[in-house]
Amino acid sequence: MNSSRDKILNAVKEAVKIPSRIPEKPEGINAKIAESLKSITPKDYAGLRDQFAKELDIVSGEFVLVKSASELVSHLSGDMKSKNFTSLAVSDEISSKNIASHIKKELPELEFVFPADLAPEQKKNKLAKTSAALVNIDFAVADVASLAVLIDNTKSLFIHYLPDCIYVVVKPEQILANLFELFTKVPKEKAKNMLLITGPSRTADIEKILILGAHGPRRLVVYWLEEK
Amino acid sequence: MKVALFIPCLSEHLYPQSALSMVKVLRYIGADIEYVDNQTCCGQPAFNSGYRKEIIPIAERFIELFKDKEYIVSPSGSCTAMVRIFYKELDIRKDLIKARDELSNKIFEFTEFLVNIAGVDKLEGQFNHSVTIHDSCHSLRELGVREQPRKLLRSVKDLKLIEMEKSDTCCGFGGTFSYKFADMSVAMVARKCRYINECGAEFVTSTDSSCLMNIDGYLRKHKFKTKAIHIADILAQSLNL
Amino acid sequence: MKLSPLKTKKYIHNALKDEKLLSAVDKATQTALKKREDKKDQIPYWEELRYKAHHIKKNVIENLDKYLEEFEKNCLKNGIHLHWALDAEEARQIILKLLRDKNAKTVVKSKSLTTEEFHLNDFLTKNGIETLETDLGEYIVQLMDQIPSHLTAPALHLSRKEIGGIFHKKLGIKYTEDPTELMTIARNKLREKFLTADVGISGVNFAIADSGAVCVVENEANARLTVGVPKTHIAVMGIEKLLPGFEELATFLKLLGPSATGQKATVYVNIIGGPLFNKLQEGPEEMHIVLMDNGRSKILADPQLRETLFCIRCGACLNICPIYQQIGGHAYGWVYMGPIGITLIPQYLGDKEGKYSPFVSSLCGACYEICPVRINIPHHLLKLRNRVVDKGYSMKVERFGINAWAFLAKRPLLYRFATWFPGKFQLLLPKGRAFPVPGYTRERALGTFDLKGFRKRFLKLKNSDYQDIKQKK
Repeated sequence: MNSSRDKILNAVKEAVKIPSRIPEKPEGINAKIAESLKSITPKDYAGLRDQFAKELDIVSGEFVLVKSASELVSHLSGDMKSKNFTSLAVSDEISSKNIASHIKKELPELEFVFPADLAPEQKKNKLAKTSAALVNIDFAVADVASLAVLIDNTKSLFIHYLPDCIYVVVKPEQILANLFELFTKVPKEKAKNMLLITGPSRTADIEKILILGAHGPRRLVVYWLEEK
Repeated sequence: MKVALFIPCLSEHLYPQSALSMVKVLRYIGADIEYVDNQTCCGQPAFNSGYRKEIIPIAERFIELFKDKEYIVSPSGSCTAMVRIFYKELDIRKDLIKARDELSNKIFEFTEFLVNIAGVDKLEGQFNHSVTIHDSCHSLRELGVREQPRKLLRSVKDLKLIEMEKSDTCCGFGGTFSYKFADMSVAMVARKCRYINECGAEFVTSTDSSCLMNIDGYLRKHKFKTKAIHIADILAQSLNL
Repeated sequence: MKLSPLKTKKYIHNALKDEKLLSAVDKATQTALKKREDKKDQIPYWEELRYKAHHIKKNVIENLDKYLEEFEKNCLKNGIHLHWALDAEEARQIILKLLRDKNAKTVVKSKSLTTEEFHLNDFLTKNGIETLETDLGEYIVQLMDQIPSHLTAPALHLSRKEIGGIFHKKLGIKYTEDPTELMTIARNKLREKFLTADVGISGVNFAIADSGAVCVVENEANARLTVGVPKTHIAVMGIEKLLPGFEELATFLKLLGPSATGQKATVYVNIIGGPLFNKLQEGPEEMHIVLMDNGRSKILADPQLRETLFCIRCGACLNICPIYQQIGGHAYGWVYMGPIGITLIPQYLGDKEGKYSPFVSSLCGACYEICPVRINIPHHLLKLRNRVVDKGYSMKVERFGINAWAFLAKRPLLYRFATWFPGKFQLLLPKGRAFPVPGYTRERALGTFDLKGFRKRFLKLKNSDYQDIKQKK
């Protein structure tokens, strides 16, 4: 243990012995928050989904409700075609790979990039040059339109922020009402490596003018997949 | 209801008429008025400039003078806050601590007293002018006085209450701040007066003489049409007192 | 750009004459306030949440030693290297040594006010390491050779023309003032750096004690790239940044977005609990955290002022401050500015160097009203003013005046007598502004001094008027 550590900790230990002169909070705060949260949270799944869609729109994300995987494939292929995208990175999950195999049929020219197949040293450069990515997430938070990615396995993380356009597939069972629920639900062992994404990257550093696509993705498209 | 007057320095020397108006209104609602002779300053200017131990005897004196009174009322929110809130920051004599803490529950800004303690919710006067209100920072944020003056003004017949933009933005006075950082203070009161002027009211009122002195000074120097007036003056005039 | 809080009066004077600055700062702060108001209104439990956050911070600060030890234990478990820095110099040396060990030539940096405390950029550059700020605003002020003028919007004081000008001059590109084009230029320039930099240095918004993780909040993805791409990640934080766990983090994330930029949620919330290369085959192989004291434990030792350690650097108090709105951030003369800045300046730099700072306030309290963690800034400023006075750093004339006035205020007869001769005794007058006061009267007319005063008038009018009023009623 180095001496600075001990010096700092000792100074802190000495300091905290002095009782604070800071007012206490009023009683019943947590109950009031819980009650208020309950009153503004949509009551059912459809309500949460619609809230997510509305909030996503506010943060300039795109919401597409699809009723089947094939509808998703055709919409996504059409979108890529209209944007003249030449490459698509596909996340490591089987479901993404399945969707990708169907997209391949629609867009035979398209180059597919699978992060797991890339050598570590070429991964970042390759993904940075890929037009778009097809990704999965773990949770969708309705009241702020945030997408939660738990980084607890071997799935690529680059894929969420190096390409220019991110297509996210979300399933109904992934919806959560708010951030409080998210952090209660996810055990701390998993929460400690997590990425929350809310819309495409942005800046307002020049005269407060909003620009989408700062250092990260310029577009974020959420496919809300409601399969029967 | 016995009311002891606490007349801050600015009211004593610069705006005695406003303090008299307050007295008239208090009498009008049936209060017994008492003037505690030998009162001086509460110590706020020195306290705000960082001088604490220097004002301890002044605060102790104030507490002793006023400790037995039923209610203490003042035409200034910031001086009221000094006694109610900031005396607690002073290392005063142990035997006065209880009196000090009691004092903080008995001292009130004028409109706060009318509405919260005397239970006045309307004064049936008449004042045929438009008025805008500047929320004095200490009244608003230390004492929580916001609705009280509005409630009283709304009850006055023919009085048109116009809300200016950002009524709760500081006028830039800040006691010694106004000459320590004079150009900053002027920039702030200039902005305040712009909002006052833009709302088009004939009068701007407030619950604190010091803010009004600052605002009035700028309005007059720059020949704005709006006049600054203490809320006690409006109420007294409206009741023809 | 070398600034000093001792020159704040001069800076303010100059800033007030700068029309361009005024319009830029005014526009930016008003926009932020409007957006905040809108988002806050959608959270009906906002006030309760402020109390909750305050309470959480109070608990952390009062038990900081325990949380630090818990954090240390969990960081080590996560394979994070922890470095303790007593002061700025030690923090600089720790980072330099780490960079030398890695043979680092290029460093990408995402916004960290804590590193501004010890001028890390200049220091590393002087030591031959290319150090690039990557947040657009920070990148701009770095090109301008300035420091940030706002806690969350570093280039808020600059117009697009000025930004276009500096891009043209420093980057050798064709002049443009189109914000999107300027962003694209910065993006392309920095993207290459992100992919080749040896080390990424980030700040920390919150550190989670029970998990050994840090949380970095941002919008541009520059922090994501900084912490996620280079082989080594160094996070720099003050020891006060701790939270007990993730449940508490949720409360702070809810408050931070609206308060800082008027967003319900920032685009990226990066929670990083150790290097993940072995799992992901991408990103950092090593993660270091520099835990810096640099005066914080001293602040902690004050039972009242320790509340200033609750600050989450959202910048809301700057936006609402009627002073900041007209002068911007540089006029305060240090890396922390605005209402919270003037509480921190004397505490970090000492009461002598910061002797003017706590006075750059009208004590209006708008900062306390808006603060998401309920820091009572005006009360702390009063305490700090008292510290300046008690240490003898106030002006001699003022001290003499106050003492003379206090002598009189204890003696009502003398007091009345003295105030009866306002002309002679003007310097002794409480709130002595009835007569010309330097600066005050230049733009403001004076009230008329009433020679009778209230007392005399009241005592005279007492009996007759009393009846009048009763009859009227």
